[in-house]
Amino acid sequence: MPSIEPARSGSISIPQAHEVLATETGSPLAPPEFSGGTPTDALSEMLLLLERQSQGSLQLNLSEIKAARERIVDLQRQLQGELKRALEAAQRSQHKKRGWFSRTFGKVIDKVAKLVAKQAELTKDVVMLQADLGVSLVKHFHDRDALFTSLKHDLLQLSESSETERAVEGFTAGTLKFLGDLAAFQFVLVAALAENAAEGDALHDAFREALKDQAQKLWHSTEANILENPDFWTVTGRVAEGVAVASAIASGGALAPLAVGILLALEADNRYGYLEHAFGKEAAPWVRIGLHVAATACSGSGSNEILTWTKVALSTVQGAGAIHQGVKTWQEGQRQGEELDRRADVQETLYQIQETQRLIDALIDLYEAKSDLRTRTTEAATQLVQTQGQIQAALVLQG
Amino acid sequence: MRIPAEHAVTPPTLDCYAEARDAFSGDPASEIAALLIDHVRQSRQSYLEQTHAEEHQLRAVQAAQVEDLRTQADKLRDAAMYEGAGMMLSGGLTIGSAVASASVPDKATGADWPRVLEGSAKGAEGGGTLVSAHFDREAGLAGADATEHEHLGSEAERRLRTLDEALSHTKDLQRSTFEQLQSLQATQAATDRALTSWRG
Repeated sequence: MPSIEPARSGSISIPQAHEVLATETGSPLAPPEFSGGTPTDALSEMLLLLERQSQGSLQLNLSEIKAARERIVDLQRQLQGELKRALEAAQRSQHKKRGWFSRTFGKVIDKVAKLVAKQAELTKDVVMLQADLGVSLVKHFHDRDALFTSLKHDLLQLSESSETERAVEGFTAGTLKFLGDLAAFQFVLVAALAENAAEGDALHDAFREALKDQAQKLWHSTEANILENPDFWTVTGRVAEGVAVASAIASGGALAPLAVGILLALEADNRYGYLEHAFGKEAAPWVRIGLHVAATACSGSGSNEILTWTKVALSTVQGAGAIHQGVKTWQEGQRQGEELDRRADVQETLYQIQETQRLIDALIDLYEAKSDLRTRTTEAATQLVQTQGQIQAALVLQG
Repeated sequence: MRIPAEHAVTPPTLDCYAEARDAFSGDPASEIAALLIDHVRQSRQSYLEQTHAEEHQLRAVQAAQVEDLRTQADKLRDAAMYEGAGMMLSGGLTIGSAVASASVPDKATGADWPRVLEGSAKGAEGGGTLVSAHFDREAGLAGADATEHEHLGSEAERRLRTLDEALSHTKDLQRSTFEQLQSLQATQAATDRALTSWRG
């Protein structure tokens, strides 16, 4: 079997600077290169000029399409950034830390709050049932069927959850959770102070962090359980009304009984709506306002110190609630404004993308039209040359 | 095509070829094709100008819509700022009223400061709400303008689509006209060849 010896031709010389001409994979849109010799006649010169013009025009068109594509990519990147910012903003507004006490004993507190609310509801129903039965008897005294239905309705109401029950439940749960979180914060604070006293140095970093974390959780607990708890403010409002009645009674003034009477009349209207029957739908709101003003004027200022301090405490809590509500309203407005600004940014970017896309479509159409024109020109020129050649051949034959 | 009844052995003259070619290929057909191409070109130009105008209109209404959205955002911020400020002032005055009612009454002037502060608190809240309502109204108007511009933009887009379709039809017509003209030219060239090679 013959063996093939490797050729030994000494050292292989590699040129210092050589060019590797790789075959370029052309774009499907790229126009074919025109190459030809130097034209000799006028027709060939004209065709060459036409071809060169077509090539230049198509290349310009391609570069425009490329630039538009790059612009679209930039815009899409911009849109992506805007959407990411919007998502982050939405996630930021939802993230709130709950207090340790609320997190651990939340369910137990809810059960306790339900029990308290049920008890309050029962107490209220026992008092109100008598009034309801009395009203039903007076209204349907001559109609036995209607009286029976009304009594049945009054009794059934005993087993139904009313707004009062729900408000008391929310109030109790919110208050208990807040107090628990406050106690947890105090515990961490006392531990931090004890650590500080023992070490005789600045607060330990870990305790400082824990204190900061607890303070943040306490603030969120205050917001969730007190400041943004509608049930808390419903019950507080009711308590304030009760204190106003008690204050009027305690004032001992001559108009005190009148003030109490007016407040009770307003409460009864709240339940039975009799003012509308008595004064009509249009006049009833004005009568109610008048009664409120009269009650305020008659109640005067209480002389009882406990009631005074209760009123002070309630007003302070309500004032703090109003300030918090104001801050929240301000922040909410800012948030809505920023959201709308982001929407405008996204809309603007989308419109720019659409516009650039339309530009690309138009450029592609133009490219197609130019390509068609080039093809037709080439075909026409070929046919022209062929016809010219044939005619010349025929004339030569005839000659 | 005219063929002489008694033709000579010698080939006919070139004028005879030209006359025969004009009679056979049909100049009216070429003229119609040329007219059609001219019509297509003018229609195309007209549609392109209309498209440019519509695109300009679309850009204008879209820019106006974005501007309206920004105005609405500003007005919403203003409304919330005034309402919030009113509520905060009201809360502060309510607390002030509570503090005043806890302190010793001013017997020298006889002024009932708790009531004054309480009334001021209500006034501050009402004033904030009033100014806020004004800005809310302006925000609502800006929102309505934005919606109107959005609808105008949609209309412009619809018109653009219609113009695109018309342009596409024009292109089809142009293509078929060119094909027809090409076919005419081919017929004409074939006739020329036949006439040239014909020796009678």
